[in-house]
Amino acid sequence: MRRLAPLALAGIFALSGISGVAALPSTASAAADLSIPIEKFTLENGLTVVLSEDHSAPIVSVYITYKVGSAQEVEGRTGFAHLFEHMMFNGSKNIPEGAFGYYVDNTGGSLNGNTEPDRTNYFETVPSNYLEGMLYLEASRMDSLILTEESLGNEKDVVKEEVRQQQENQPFAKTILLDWPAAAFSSWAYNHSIYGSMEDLTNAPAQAFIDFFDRFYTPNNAVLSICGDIDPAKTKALVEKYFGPLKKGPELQHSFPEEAAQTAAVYTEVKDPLAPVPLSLVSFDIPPPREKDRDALELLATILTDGASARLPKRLVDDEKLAATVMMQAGFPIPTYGPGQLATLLVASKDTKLADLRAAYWDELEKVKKKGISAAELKRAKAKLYKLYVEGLSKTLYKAAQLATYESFYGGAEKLNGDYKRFDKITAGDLKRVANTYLTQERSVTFDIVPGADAPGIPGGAE
Amino acid sequence: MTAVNSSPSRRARGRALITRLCVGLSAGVMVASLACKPKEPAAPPVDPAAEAAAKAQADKEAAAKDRADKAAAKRAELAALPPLPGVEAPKAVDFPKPIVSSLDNGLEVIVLEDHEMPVVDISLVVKAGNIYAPAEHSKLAALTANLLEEGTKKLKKEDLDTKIDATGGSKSVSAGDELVVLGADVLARDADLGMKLLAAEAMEPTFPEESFKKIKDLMIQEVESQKSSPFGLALQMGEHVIFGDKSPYGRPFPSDAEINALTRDQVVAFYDRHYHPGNAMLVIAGDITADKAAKLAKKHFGKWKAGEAIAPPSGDKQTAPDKTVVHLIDRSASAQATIAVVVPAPKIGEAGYLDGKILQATLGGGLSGRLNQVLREQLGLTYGVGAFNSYGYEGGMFFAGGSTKTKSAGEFTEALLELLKEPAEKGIPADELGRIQSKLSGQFALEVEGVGVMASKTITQRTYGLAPDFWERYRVDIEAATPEQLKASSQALWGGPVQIIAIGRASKLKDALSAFGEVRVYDTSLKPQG
Repeated sequence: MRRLAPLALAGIFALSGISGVAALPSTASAAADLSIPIEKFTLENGLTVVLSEDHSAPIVSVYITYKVGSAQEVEGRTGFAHLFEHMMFNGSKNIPEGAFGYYVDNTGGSLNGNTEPDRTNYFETVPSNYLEGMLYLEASRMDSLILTEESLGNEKDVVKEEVRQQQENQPFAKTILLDWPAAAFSSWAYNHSIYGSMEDLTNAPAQAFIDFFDRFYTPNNAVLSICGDIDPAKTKALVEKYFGPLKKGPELQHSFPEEAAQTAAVYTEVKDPLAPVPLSLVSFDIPPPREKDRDALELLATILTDGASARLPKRLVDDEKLAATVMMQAGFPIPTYGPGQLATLLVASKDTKLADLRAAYWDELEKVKKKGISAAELKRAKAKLYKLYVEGLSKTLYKAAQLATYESFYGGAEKLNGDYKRFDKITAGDLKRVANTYLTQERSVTFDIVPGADAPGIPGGAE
Repeated sequence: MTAVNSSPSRRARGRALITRLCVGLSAGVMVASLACKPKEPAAPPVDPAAEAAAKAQADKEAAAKDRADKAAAKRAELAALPPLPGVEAPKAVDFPKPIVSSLDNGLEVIVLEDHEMPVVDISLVVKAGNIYAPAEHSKLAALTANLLEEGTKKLKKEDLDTKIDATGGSKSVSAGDELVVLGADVLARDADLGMKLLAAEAMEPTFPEESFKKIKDLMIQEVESQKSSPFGLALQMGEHVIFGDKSPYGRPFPSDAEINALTRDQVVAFYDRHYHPGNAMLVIAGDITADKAAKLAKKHFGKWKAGEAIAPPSGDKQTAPDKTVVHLIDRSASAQATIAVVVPAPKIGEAGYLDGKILQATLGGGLSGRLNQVLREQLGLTYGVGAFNSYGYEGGMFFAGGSTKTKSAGEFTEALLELLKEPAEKGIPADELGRIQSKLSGQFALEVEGVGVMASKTITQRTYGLAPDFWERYRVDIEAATPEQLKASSQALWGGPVQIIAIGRASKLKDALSAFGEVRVYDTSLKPQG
């Protein structure tokens, strides 16, 4: 069972638990006690470690964020960050190629990784009796990844297949993953493809990858979070045993790219031979996560689209039947921790023209700008965000991932507890103001993706 | 000695032997020297085309042997790895036990308590999925299910949505092959409201006429989306060839006209027949006591009019083709080829089903599975390849596949087939089997996190009439499987013909895939072409 008693140990932000259902107050803002224990320390080599104990199941999640992503790449050497997400499973000292997956699979557990512009993440969830083994594996690849022309060559082929499968062979994907970021972000750091150029990957020698690894895959450029059925004191000793001997890397200055203010609407129509239905992607430049205006915009997106009774689904799907689906989310589809994008996906209903759907969408945004939103809408959105907070604490992997994010980018893992309350400070006035400031035609980028080929007789599918 | 064997194929085998001996691959030098000096006049000139074909065949066999040798060497290398450091004894896993009771009207109520988080998942499960719809109205069950959320006697759709959204929770409806699930995912304090709304939708739907066009259009778009997805096409085609179009599991995609022709009267009749307590179960999982859950169930579902369970339709399942056939779906804008191999398999609860799970883990289980080890790690042919076994009342299907660039489709298919057939020919070594068994056991233990997985296992046990202790015995039964048993099960799966499904540019794939069997070409609606 999760520990319910308040803890008062230094460095541990353990508050009361959540066992008693009836004890939960009836308003979201008063339900402040749902929190998790958080302990944090830093090794001499600069590795930041976050622990969260939870004995509700004999499971542990180990999660490492390296603060390197496609934004740290340089022109002519793109695709490196993502290729590392593959190479990290391909062998290190005492862990031959294939052994990482073999060891983790044998526990019955799961593993994966993902690449974003500002970071790359690696994670495993396993039965808790394998915790030490996971630390051994993670420390080994942080210390001594094998990068040879041969192993890189095979993985470059795999990545090329990944690009074909995920970007070239799926409806909408090429526009959303390649064309949209190129138009929506002004900085090269954010607007080039996370997959990178296959030509760059082919041309890069092994030494270029070794240099990248030595620079970015270091203890002082990483955050390790461990969540689940652990003994914090024993875990701390194990972390020191395996990660302590690792050499500190170069000191890196982390900064996010600057984005130029957009002053005119951008509109593009794309024909997609794989698309089954017409889809419009409308996005706006917005501030980085956790700035006050960003929080207001995220709350506004929740008000507008979260739940069938929210304004946009109600009007566009149910009342006027113009849309099949509406979704609005900040940091989607490309999450950034510097300046970001708020994207709306509008899937047209059968026989509806995208222009008509977009007109109704803009009309609804104009209503928000002029009349604001109701108290009931604000209350509902805050309840949705509280529910989301609860769900985010319901699994060891979710918790480990959030702790790594908070520690890496949000000013400290401990800020996770009760963080939904930051939305309480946002008023209806704030929402009206951010709608008028950010959700404007001038700041918008629109892609209409319609089924069909660019020219008759020329099918897509170039390989 | 083969050379003096008098069987009808003596000449062919003798020639092969001579070839091997003459190139020095055998120690039989004496025999070779004799055999290489024919007494008769020189042999007739060799046909260059036949020679080229023989060489191609020999190259192919050598490449296959090389692949298999490398894969075996890699498996041996991994098997010889030292254990991970510091592995402790596994801890006991306490799975929540379902508490089952029934209301007077026959509604079965299943509660799984889990007080870790202040949330409750409520699922009203009705045996009213797509297999219960008549063949000519194959989307009737899904249409009926989707319309349940469109309004009830006392609450319009807008009211239902507003009430659930105000709590921060959500509700949903989904129609699968066998089951329709009405779900509410709410904070524990809102369990009463969640159940009230589900009860209203299940017991008092109004099926408003004005919602029909919206829902039908969404369903038509859903079919289009499935046709646009390589995996969606592969799955539909797999079931189509394994079960046949006379089985409710093997139906083709419905046309727009078929969906548009469905009427409100048909929906009401389908609802009246299938939606009642005897044909449903209420599953409540999460931060709620069994006592409270039972009281809420009675409060909201107690007045639901009783009715008997409806037996699944006895389908007219056809047998898959008795030869290997390549079912090639022409998706002209494809940027790569998607290849899958499907065979009939036991359904859950039948003999051999758990062997199928073990084979799935051996072949398709993550990065270390045999398929990924060879097709991804050794050959770099794919981003990922996987395997799964699906099942319904009429049987199961084992599916294995992935995507590769169009020009390597032949190589990919060949290597995939070899990997699938290998356990049938050579068996699975005992040490590898042991590793897979402990992996599956560990995987099962991890599912204790969150009560949702146990809830769904309970629903499966009751839907398919599995033994009451099926899940309790699962790990023991997995551990009991033997190499001999696995080999026999592998032979049953892959010892005969298989069905190959390919999705991509037919003009570029047809020739390469014809080496594996008759190629039948379809469009993305799965209609045969030419």
